Amino acid sequence: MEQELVISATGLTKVFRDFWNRSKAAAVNDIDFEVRRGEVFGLLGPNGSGKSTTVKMLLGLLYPTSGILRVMGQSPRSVKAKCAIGYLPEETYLYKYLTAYETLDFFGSLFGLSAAERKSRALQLLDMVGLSHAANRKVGEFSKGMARRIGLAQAMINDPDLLILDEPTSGLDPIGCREVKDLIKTLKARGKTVVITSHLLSDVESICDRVVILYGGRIRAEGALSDLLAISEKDTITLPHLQEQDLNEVMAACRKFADADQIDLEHPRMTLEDFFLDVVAKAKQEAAGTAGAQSGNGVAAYLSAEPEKSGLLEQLSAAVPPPAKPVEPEVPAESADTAILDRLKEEKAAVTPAADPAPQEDLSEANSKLSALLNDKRDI
Amino acid sequence: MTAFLAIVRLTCRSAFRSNFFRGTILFFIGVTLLMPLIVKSDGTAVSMIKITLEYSLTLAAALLSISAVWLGASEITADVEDKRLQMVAVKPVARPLIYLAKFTGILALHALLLLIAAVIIYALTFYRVASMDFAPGEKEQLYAEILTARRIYQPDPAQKNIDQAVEEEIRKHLEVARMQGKDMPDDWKTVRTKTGEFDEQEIRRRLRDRMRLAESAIAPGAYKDWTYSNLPENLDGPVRIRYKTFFELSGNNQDKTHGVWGWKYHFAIPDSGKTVELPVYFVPDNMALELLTMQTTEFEIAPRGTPERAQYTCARGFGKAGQNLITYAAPYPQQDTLMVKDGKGQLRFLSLDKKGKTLYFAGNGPELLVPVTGFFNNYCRTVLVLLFLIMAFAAMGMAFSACFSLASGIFLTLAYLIWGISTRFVLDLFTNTAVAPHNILEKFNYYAGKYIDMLLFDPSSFAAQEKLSSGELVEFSYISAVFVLQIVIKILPVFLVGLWVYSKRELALAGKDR
Repeated sequence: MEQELVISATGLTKVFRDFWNRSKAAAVNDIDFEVRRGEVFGLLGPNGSGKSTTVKMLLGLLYPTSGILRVMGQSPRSVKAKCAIGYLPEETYLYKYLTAYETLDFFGSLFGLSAAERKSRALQLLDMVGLSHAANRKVGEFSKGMARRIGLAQAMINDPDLLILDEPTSGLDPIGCREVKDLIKTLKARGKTVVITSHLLSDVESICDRVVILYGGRIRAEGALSDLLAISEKDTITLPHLQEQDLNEVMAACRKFADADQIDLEHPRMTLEDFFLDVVAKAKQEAAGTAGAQSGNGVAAYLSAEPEKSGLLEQLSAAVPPPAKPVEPEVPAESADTAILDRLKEEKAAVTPAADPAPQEDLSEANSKLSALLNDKRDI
Repeated sequence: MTAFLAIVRLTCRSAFRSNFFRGTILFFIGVTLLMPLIVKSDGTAVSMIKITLEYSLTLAAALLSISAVWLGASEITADVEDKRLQMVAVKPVARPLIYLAKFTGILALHALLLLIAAVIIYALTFYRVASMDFAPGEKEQLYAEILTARRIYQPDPAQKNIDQAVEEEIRKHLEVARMQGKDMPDDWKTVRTKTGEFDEQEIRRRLRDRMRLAESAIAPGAYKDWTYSNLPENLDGPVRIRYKTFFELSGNNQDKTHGVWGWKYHFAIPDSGKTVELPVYFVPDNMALELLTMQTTEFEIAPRGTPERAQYTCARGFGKAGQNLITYAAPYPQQDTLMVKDGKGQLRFLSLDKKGKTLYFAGNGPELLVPVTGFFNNYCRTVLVLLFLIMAFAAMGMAFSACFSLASGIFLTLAYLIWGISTRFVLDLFTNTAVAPHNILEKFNYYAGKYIDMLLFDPSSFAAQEKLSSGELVEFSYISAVFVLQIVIKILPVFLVGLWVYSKRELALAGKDR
């Protein structure tokens, strides 16, 4: 089922002109792209490629020189379209003399929320971004990371259907980065659409469904990550730790199908982020204190709330992009040596592989939250 | 409305964080509190209170106007340059609403400050009045002339059209000259412009002035009547008249003269249903009133039916030239007498100058001052006019900063104000001196100035505190005229242009780079 279009750009062009109306630079040059509901869409490119210009046109802060741009089916400058948009700019421009709570209260009032609703959401968001202890501190006193967190919070005060994040993990520690990514996954699971621009490609890689890569104002690559990043010429097999003798047997079998210099054998690596989080988790268990931002206490209830169970399942299934076409391995001719590989395959099928602790932990956390929701438990 | 009020509150809060605003507040407090207590005058209570009111309110309004310009400009530019407006503009709030909300916040803040200043100045003024040592009669004079609100009635203009009379006079002079075989009278030939040409406009101006002077002249023993229209039918007094007299060729030297004022009453004849007009002269202590020339003086016409005024003697008949005043003791005008009939009243002055000099009255003659309402009511009207002034300054500051930096916006506002003030000054020169433009360049300047003046803002139109300090009523017609002509016609278009520019600009192009 094709999801509705949230963003549609056709022939989008932005040319900056000087005082005499002479063309100075074509920041965005005739680009076409679409973003559908429920997608996490990445807008990538080197400095000066037109990412921020595109984002600002989406928000009505810049006007296209030519082309058609629709957000939620309306002009980006339409007030109605902005009701469902949340925006985190690259630099967080806040009123330094307002406290964190007052900042959220102010931005909430711009959406016409009632005082009670603003208070409820502000407290939940502060808790979510780990700034409850700094609710009454002026934003001008915040570190960059804390300011980013409050910026992220204000972007979600209205529970937006479209969230535009410009360098969302900039200035955040790895804990914060992980929380942002978890949040994005939660929002995606709720059918929200997220547009991200970032230079931190590892962050983009782990959460985006589709990306567009800009260079010189033009689209150079576009598509689902799974399609763009797969190296179809090679295969990877992951095994549990084997004894040396068994390992040698496996290597010998592999050498029958490929040259020795084409085969790599090494221990797989966890990501530095996972390792870091593991260390911090252990430190927390030892009750080590910190004066900085604390990790959040989970996604705010109103952001993770679902109206109906069936709807959630549908959205989850609908949000999953179509899997890349699996590469069929060549079936070798039957020989005595293949018996070893066959045996290995059978053993693998019989044995449940050791799970990567970090992803399992993520799923369990997500599952617990879903269970809580379905049982009407809230974390307020 | 929630978003609107949130932006208003934020604007007020942001204002208090501005060092410039804080400094203005301190200065403002000093002016408001100290000025009424330290102002000096010529020693009379009337002038002291008059100066206190006028100076205090003028300074307070001036400070708040400057503050309004600054805040108006900075509220617009700061958010744009610091890019905070981008955070607001991406929310479902229309740009015009943001603009109007900021304006409302600035206006509300300054209205509150103006109100505080007005209360303090009012209280301190009456504190000074209460703590003063008055000379005999001075307190009554203060309440009669300053702490009141009087409508000014000008005498009805002379019947004849003075311009027509001037042309008739010129025609007569030329006819006489032609009969003498000349092309023009000899004394006209010396009236030349700077370029040496015959100055016809100057001749006209001189004749006009001479005719006006002649109209106001009163020979010794003669009298002059002035008629006032649109007076309230139930006019009952106290009524004051304000006048200034001078002798011809006396320059600015003050002199003494004598005369008697009178008012034409309408007496009802008992049981006849008819009324008869009888002039009543007000002759204090049976002596003619002493007048000082070259000085604006107020004099109270005795109200009817007040026993304490029985010292005045009624006189019958209008005095003729040279005739001694006939006086007799008679009952003072009774209850059924009227000062005004069909909206008209008539004032008379009988000149009894002992030196035989002709007396002139400045302007169109004496002004009639009729109390309409109390001082507090008039004070509130004045404060309203001053609020309009502050509103105009705030609007200008915002409009001129809609697409410029703070410095540029302030500069443009000041330039606009100076342009308006100087245009008004130049036009007033032509009007007051009655000097007509001579050459084509002067004519272009004059007429261009006239049309530009219709569009440029004139802060001097808001000087209601001058009326207040003179005990003159700040009329609703005046307030309406100021609002419509200055605010609606002149400032509102500028404000709307600023709003349009603010709404249309690309916010992502503005701002400082970090």
